[in-house]
Amino acid sequence: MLKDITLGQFFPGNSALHKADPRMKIILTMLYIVFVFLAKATLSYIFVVFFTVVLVIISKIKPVIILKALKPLIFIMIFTAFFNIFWTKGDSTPLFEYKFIKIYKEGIVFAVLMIVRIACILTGSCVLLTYTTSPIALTDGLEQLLAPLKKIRVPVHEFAMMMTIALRFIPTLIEETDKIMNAQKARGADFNSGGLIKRARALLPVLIPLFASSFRRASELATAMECRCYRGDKGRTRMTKLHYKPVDLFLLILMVTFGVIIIVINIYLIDILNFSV
Amino acid sequence: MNALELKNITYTYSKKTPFEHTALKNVNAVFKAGQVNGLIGHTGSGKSTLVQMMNGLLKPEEPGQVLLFGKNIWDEPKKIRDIRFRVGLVFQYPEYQLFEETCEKDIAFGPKNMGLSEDEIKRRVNGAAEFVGIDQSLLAKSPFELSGGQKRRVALAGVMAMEPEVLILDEPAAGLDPIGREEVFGGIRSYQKTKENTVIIVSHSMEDVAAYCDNLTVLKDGQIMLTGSCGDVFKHERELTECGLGVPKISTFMRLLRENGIDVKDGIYTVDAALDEILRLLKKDDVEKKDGGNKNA
Ligand SMILES: Nc1ncnc2c1ncn2[C@@H]1O[C@H](COP(=O)(O)OP(=O)(O)O)[C@@H](O)[C@H]1O
Ligand SMILES: [Mg+2]
Repeated sequence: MLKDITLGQFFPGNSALHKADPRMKIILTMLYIVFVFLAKATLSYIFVVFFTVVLVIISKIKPVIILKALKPLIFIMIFTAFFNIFWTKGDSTPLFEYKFIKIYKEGIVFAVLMIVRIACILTGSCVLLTYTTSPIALTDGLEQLLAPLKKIRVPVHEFAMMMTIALRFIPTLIEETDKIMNAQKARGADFNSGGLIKRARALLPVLIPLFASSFRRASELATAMECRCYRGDKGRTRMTKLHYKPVDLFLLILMVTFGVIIIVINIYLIDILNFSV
Repeated sequence: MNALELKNITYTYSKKTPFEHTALKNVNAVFKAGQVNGLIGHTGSGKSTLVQMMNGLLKPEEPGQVLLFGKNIWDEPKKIRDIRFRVGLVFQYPEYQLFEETCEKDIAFGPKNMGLSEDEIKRRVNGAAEFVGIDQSLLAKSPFELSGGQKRRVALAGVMAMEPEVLILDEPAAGLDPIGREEVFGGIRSYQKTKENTVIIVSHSMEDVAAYCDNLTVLKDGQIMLTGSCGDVFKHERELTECGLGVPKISTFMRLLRENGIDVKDGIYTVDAALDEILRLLKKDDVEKKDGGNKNA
């Protein structure tokens, strides 16, 4: 069923990461990604893995859920690793040689580090942001982080409102699509046979009612918003104000420490484990 | 004869996820051929899930079976589309599935999918439009220009035009005003009278099923609670009230009359029948009074 596709991927909970301010989490996620890319030495990669595990533990998200999220990306990871193995040239003699194919130790190390990097960035940004922040809080945080742009007339509030509404209606639309598809199937519509063009045509009886009801919904929602005196950003107050709390400071310090350690390793300890790249 | 027979039907939504929900639990039911069968239950009792079993949109969990005139519809999964032409299902709020430029084309969608000839399609579209009281001038209009009740009837016609052996209607009158309801049920009745096909009406209104159905199946929390003729089912007034369905008001009224010593017949559940019965009693009283007077004289 279409409805079984989970979207938004938010897992409610009460960990420190769940409680943190969405603005802070957006900042932390960006910092995290930058720091992971800064990591050069093998030792720093080990540290990146360690830190990511710490984040997962803080988030209290079950590791199974994270493995599930990584599963669809296994192909991309293997693909990247595969190219790195064959394309990286090392100084030492190749480990394996067959005609023009040469595999160096450096290539293998680099490929492994590449996989580690992708997996860590994904896991990290998931537990820092998407898994622990409700979509509504996320757009709220984004709006307030970008608020300074309002000065140069960027319609930040409007974009955020659009995003919130879109997110709110995704499940509704999926359910509706399911219903209309079933209704047309009951009249003998056939979505699974024929060539590409025939299949695309077969979707018309689903898309037209779907558009019609989306327009109807949009106009109803607009009316309802007007009835409740919505008039855009100007003079609008908030029911839930965002405040930075001690937990945000704690997470920020943790992240900065992480960054500092990575940089220190890069500068002073780059040669500790031999296969640096 | 049984048009549809459901055996051990169990169905779970979102199986093996945290949202798992068992909507039907071991349901056994029969729907009689050539009759108007009522399927009734409160909101969320699994009525819509059950009717989607009947035309193969949902597949029951093992070892459940759906028998259409004695034959399991899942014997040949490849031919499930043919089952959908034989068991026509009108969804709840069917007007939201209209999509063609004109009502005529929309009604023709089903028959076209059946691969019928142009002439036959034309005949069926006109026939179906006649049943539901949509006249020729409306057929050329866009369905998006019609009123709510008209749209609903065009959508009904879209399924009737396939002339299914079993016509199922999921809450056909939901959200309509009294006139709209009367028109919709009128359409269903004239279809059934003419074709003498099996009809299944899903509803949560006891008044509606009492007025239009020959027999009833009551669903409660995904299980069959009662089944039988309207009269038999409405005898269980207490159970029906407990599960939030109740019985037609007129049925309660007649019971109260009986309990207060007025000798009305049992098993009356429509206003018309109640009126006849009360008039009969009044006449009888009159006659008795007259008789008594004569004797005294
Ligand atoms: N697509 C679906 N996904 C998950 N649960 C559903 C779905 N459709 C219905 N349900 C659930 O199954 C139960 C029965 O629903 P339904 O058959 O629609 O009842 P009814 O038509 O009698 O109101 C309800 O509890 C409902 O929440
Ligand atoms: Mg329903």
